[in-house]
Amino acid sequence: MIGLVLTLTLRQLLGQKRTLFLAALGLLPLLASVVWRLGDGDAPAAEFAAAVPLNALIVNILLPLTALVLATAALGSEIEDGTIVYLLSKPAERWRIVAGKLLAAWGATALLVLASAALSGAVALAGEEGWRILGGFLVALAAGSLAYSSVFVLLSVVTSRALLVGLAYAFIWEAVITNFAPGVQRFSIREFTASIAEAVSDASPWVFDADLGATYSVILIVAVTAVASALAVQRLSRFELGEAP
Amino acid sequence: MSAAEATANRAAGAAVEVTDVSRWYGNVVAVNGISFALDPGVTGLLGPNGAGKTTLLNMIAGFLKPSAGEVRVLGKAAFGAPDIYRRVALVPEREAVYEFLTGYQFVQLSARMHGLPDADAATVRALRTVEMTDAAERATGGYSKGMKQRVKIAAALVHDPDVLLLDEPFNGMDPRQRLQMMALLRSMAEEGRTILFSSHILEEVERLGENVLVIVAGRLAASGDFRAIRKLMTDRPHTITIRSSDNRGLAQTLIGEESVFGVELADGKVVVRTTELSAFVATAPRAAQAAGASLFEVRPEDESLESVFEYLVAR
Repeated sequence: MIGLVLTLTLRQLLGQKRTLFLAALGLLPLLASVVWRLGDGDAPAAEFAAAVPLNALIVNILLPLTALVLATAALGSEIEDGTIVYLLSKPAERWRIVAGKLLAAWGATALLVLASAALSGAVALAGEEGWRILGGFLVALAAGSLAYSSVFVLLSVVTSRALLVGLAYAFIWEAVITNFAPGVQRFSIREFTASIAEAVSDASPWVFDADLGATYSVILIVAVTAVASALAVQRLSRFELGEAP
Repeated sequence: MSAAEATANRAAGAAVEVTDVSRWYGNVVAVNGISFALDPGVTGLLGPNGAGKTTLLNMIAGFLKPSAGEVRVLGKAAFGAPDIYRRVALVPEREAVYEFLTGYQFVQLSARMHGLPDADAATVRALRTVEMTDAAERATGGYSKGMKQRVKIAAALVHDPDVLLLDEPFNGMDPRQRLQMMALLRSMAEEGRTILFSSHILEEVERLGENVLVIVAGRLAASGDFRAIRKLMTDRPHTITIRSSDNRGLAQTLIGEESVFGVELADGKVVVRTTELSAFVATAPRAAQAAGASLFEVRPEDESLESVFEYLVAR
């Protein structure tokens, strides 16, 4: 059942125009790296790669946006157009449906984000030192994709305005509020992702410096994924079809 | 389902039991205190648009929790019990299907999700049943409304359910397809299955439903044998307005007719009330001739399905 839902959802997601738009957006970090290589930037390649394409463009923008669009489409669009009935009218535990949807959203998000990171990082670091920073970001982005996807899949079962709520979380809470209130960084998947990137790449502080501890971030990413997935299963088990007249 | 299983079902109680069920959304009551039980056979759920048919079907299918009362299907509470779908199927009213899948893939997906041992054979059988084998390799996105309806029914039939719930199943089908589908549902019922379909079209229910549930404004207005309910509908008071060359003379003649129980002169018309519509149709020209009046217009005033339903509720 999980495999069937996963395959079905991947076909749904990869055939949509919004996925093409996200793929095009994923070329922006690559463009930034190309422009930097063509120019005469003074900063070391590793420092540029970490700061601009990988962190500023991918962790801060591309990752949450891609996860939001794909994860809410994975389940939310089926709820919206009514095709969810074809999944729910089967004698299968609801966790299998959520698992299939989450794996598809995670896979599609990771595919787009990791491809963008690998390409933009490779262009920036070609012939230079500091490739470990790219490895660190690839691991962190895979983990961050999972946490974001699970939260946004949950949102799509909880509210019909999942996209709006997700945008508010990613671009108001994480991008603005956490900058002015340092304590709330502990509730930001973006910060968890950056911390894992720093820890895995073992980067010097002058190359890349995150605000949270890596162990704490890994625990939180696992916890966020587990709790969001469990809540999504619980919501889907009590899900009601149809709308108020 | 074998005859033995069908007998076992009957012994265990009604296939579908709806007991004092209500469903409300905030202050809006969609379904109000409905009770009935369904045994194997075809039952039509008749009512105007917005009467609560879909809400009721969704509660029976386990997709909506009743606000009050209880829905049991094959002996189990319907809501939150995915296991019932081994023996229950719903064909939703909404047209949406996975448009990137072919008809074959769509039905096969259903078969595989049910874990059928030979999903391909079940898929072919279900597609053949609804006469969709020719279009099976085309993407469902290019299907007409009637074809989508048939492929949805094939997906619902693929696991051979004991209870089949269909929400407005004949929408978009041409007359030949409707007849074929009606014959199919009838033969499934004869095998011992319980089939409940909703419709807002009287003739569809008349052709297929031996039993009928009439639902109006969320309440069960009538239930039972269709012929008895049809008689109630036919024998209800009808109001007919007539314009003629001599309204007063015609009114005097009509009041003496047995089929007429009320006559009124108003705004250049004669308003007649009768409980025997067919008798009145035969009487009116004769009465006009006797009164020496020419008939300009004879118009039934309350023949909409809604007014028929309102009458049944008010009884």
